[in-house]
Amino acid sequence: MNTIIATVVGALASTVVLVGGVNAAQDENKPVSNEKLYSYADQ
Amino acid sequence: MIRRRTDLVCVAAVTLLILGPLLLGRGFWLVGDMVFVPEQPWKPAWLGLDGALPRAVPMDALISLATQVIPGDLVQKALLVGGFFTGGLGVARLVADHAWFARAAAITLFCWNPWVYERLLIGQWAILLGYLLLPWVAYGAIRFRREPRDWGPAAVALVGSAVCSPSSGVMAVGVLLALGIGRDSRGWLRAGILAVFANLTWILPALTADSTRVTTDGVFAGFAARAESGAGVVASLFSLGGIWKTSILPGERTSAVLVTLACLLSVAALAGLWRVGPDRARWCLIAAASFALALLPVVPGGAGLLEGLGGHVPGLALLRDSHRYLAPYGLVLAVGISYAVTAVRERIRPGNQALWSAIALVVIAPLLLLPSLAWGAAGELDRSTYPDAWGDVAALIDDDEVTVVLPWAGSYRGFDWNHRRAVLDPAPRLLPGQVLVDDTVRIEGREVPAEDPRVRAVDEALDEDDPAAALRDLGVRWVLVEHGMGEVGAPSGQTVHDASGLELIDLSNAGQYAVESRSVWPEMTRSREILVTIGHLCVVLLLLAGATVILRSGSNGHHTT
Repeated sequence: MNTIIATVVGALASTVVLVGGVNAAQDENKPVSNEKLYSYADQ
Repeated sequence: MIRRRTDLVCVAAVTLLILGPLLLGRGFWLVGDMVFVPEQPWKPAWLGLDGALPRAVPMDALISLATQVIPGDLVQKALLVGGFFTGGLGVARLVADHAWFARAAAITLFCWNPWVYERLLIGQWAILLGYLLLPWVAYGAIRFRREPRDWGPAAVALVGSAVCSPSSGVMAVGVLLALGIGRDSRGWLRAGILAVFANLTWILPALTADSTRVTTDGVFAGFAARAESGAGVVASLFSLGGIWKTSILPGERTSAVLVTLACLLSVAALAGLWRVGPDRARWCLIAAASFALALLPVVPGGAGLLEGLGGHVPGLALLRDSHRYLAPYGLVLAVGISYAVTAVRERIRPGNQALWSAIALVVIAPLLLLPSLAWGAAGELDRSTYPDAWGDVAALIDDDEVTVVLPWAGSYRGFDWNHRRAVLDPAPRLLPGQVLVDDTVRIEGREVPAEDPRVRAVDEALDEDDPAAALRDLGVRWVLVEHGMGEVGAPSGQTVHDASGLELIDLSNAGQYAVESRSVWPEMTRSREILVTIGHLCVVLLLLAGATVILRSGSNGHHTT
């Protein structure tokens, strides 16, 4: 039972860490451009 | 005592992880609607006496008073740190009967989730504070239902929420009604009185705001929740995300895998809610109402329905940006996850001790699912310092003068000294007197027109052949041009200051500006002043009375949920 639980929890944790880490790392800081400055949704 | 110490350590760790860069030195976080200034001069508008819609009444008044004695950047740090401590310790108090790891799970989920990230990055710090006060509203409401004479905690928490923002006050009233009302009809009356009195601080300025019009055309659809990933908008909302402003989304929230896993955490929290006991239905009601409100503009016909109703009931404009109303749902999830963790702990027997790893995963899951919230949104939020020029310009303007700020194109700016991050123009808060900025909101190719007729008057004046003369006729003496954000055609006048991207033009040099009949000066009527002041006094009295009740009853310790 312990093995099954550890496997499931480990799989979930590693998935979250891998996918989350990769996506967070790919995110970039986006200074706002003049064209988009006044468009509320683009700021 | 040990129990509180573990909660304190957990909350401190979460707070430090989120706000760390802000706390490492002097300077401001200036982003979106989050505008703090070194010293905010006092104006009647901060109390809602000027006839404008009370968007930050009376929070601006409190900030103005605080910055008279403490530098603005320290006020900002104190408010944000205090907010996270209040929220984290509050939700731990709600589940005080649970083991430390169950309380830790509640703290991490409550303080570290997409809703918190998105509101912080959009700069709505006051609404974030309102969210962080919700556990205390719930705590006070439950005590109020069990003992009606113990209304102090509910009153204090309600006033605190209403001070943060009108929508925070409305959410707090919802939580009070769901958790604080019993079968006794007098309970409804008492709760109603508390709710109305606590919110007078913005209700009266709103009712007496005769110089504004509220536009609801298209705003409900424009500010409706969005799908952040391929998992869809319902999954986004279910996992506490889905803000309309897609440009601030962290990378993780665009992954359908992570949004789906975050939904699993929500499912676990809702499943845990079934162990709450007799109050289970009340918590479920809060979650359902909160979720439905956030989803309403997204469902077919929902935005149209709200828009139609908004034409007859201007107060419905409060419901635009409905995603913010997910806040009570976040509180419910935090309480539920604590029960879920406790349920798992009770099932641990020899042979399945590995379930401890599941508990550990649930406690840190909010952090793993949203690592971008760490350390100032993963570096997105750098500290900024105002150039000295802002103080120099402020020193040239008197309390009874009118300033128009250019560029006249929306109220958001991207200053070089603020890392080109879009932020609400600080001029109205930093400069004395009446400061007018174009408050037209541009969203998805459409414009939500300015609500203030004074702004519309300036708009027309700037279109005249001689804008300087037209502005003088309106009573405007100064034009402040903020350079570096596109070409600006400034009215003719004498430049009295030009440094660090700020140019201050004195229009009075070329001709006398109107002093007696200044149509852009706030309409201060005696009746409004009296009415609004009475409202603020009522709220202060309620706060003092509530605090007295708390001190007399020795508000300590019982478990609540």
